[in-house]
Amino acid sequence: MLGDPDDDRLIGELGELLDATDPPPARLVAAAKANYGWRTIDAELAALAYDSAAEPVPAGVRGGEEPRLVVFDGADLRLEIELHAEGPGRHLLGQLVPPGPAELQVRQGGGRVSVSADASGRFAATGLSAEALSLACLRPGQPPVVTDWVLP
Amino acid sequence: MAELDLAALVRAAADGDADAWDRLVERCTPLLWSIARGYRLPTSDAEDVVQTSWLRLLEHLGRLDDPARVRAWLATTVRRECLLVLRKQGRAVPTGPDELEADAPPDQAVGPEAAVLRSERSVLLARAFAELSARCQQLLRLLAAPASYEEIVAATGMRIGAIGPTRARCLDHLRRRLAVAGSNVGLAD
Repeated sequence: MLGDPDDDRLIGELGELLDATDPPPARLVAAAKANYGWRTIDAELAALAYDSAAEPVPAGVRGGEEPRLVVFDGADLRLEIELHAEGPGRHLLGQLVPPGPAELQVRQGGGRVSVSADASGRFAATGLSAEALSLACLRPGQPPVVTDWVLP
Repeated sequence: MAELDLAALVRAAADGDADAWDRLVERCTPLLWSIARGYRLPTSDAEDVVQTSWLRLLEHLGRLDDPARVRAWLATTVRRECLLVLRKQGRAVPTGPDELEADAPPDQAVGPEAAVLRSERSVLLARAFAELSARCQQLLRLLAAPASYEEIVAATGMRIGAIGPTRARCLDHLRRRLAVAGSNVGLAD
């Protein structure tokens, strides 16, 4: 890795060119900073454990027909989510494991959509966008659980 | 003012310091952007991928095994999200470092017409870069970011031992295209 000065100079020149012609958009940097508002202090994390979109598609099978299945695992709670795309919109169906009633918030963009899980742990949310989203789950007498963020 | 190192910024942000988060974003976003662009994502997709990766980090701030390596952590996340986007769009998913070379469309972002380039040399360099293979563009973008070899591995899945030889080959290609373009300025020796 001993840098040849000429190589280093050319890479530096290329860096200046790319900085000038294709820098990260200012609105992206601003949005990434604003993300900090989503920070949670005392929530447990349910981490991304499975994503059907990341699985290899068998030869000859076109993806995109089946709903995408995403699973998040926390210490004592699993969230299974089916993501459906309808043009630019998204909706989701979810199942809590173990099943039980809970309040859920779909966190996305500038706001939250609140939905309830029924006694069997099922829930649904509609009217979502294609922006990154995360779920927060509030169960009676339990600490809140938040999921990893995914691009639906 | 001394630059706080990345690990200190991660810890401060995990403890509630919004300024530390802002500085992390400023210091790492150019690298993440270069990764997304290296996978040929158009602007809106590249923005979504980078934005999602920052959100992902937010929930992991206090949980990273090694906060000093946060750039590599983010690079891995951006790469994963880029591959998901490519897959969803039915585009070729590079499963190995060579596959980007195959049939990637030309990189539109750095064409000579992409911006007002001040000097003839810049125009020639942009044109020469645009003619490189996707793999060479990806690697040179990362080196120019600048990314460490560890970060390049995280961003591309390349073997670390392949980076040096590929770097030399890609720079050679770039020089030859520059020379063909009739510019030997700054290339003597």
